[in-house]
Amino acid sequence: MMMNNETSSLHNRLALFRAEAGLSRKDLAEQVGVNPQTIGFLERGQYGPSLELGLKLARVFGVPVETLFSLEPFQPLAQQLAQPK
Amino acid sequence: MTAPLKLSLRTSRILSLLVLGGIGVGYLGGAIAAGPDGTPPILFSLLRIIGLFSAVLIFIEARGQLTQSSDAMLDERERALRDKAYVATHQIMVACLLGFFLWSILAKFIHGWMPGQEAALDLLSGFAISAMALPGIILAWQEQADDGEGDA
Repeated sequence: MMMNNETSSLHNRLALFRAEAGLSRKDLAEQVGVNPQTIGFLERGQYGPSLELGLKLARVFGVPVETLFSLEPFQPLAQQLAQPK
Repeated sequence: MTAPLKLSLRTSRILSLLVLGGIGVGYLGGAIAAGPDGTPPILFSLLRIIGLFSAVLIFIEARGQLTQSSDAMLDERERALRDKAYVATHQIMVACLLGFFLWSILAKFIHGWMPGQEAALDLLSGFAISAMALPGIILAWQEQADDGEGDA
C-alpha cells in the first residue's frame, strides 16, 4: 500500500492530527518507535512509511489508516468546512 | 554511551570534498609523481594527511556512525538511508576497480603509467580509506535539510 522511500507520492494529514492531539514530534516518535526527524520527513511528504508504521500512526490517533494517508491529495480543511452538510 | 559528534550538513559536505580531493589527488597524484624511491612530493603528502583526517572525522561523525549502526538502533527511514549509502558505495568501488582494471589493459598497449609495488600499496591505502568514509559522504549529500522544527 505505501511506498517505503524518500520520494513518496503519498499524501498525509499527519501534521494536522498531531497538532490537534497536542503532541510534539518527539512524543509521537516515541509512541511509534521512530526518530523525531522521521516524523518531520513524513509530515513533509519526503518519506513514505512502511505499512507497519502507517498502521501504528493511525492507531495513535484512533483513525483508519486511509484517514491519515492517501494516494490522492487531501481536500484543504477550509474547503471541507465550507461544504454544505 | 556518549552521543556521536554531530556536524552541520554544510561542514560534513565540506569535509567530504576534502576527503575526495585529498585522498584522490594525494594518493593518485602522489603515486604518479613519486620519485624513484617511491616517495611522493611533499604537497601530495600534505593532501593525503588532510584527506585522512577528514575521512576520520566523517567516520566518527553522526552520519558516519549511522552507517555503522545495527538494525536495532535505527528506524525504518534510517535503515533505508544506510542501505542506499552502502549500495552506492559498492557501485562506486566496483566502478573504480573496473576502471583501474581497464586502464591496466590499455596501459600495456599505449605504454601508459602503471604503479610500482610501493605506489600500488599507497593506492590501496587510499582506496581503503575512501571505502571507509564513502557511506558517510553519500549520506551527507543525500540528506535533505530539516525544516527547523527539529525535535519539538
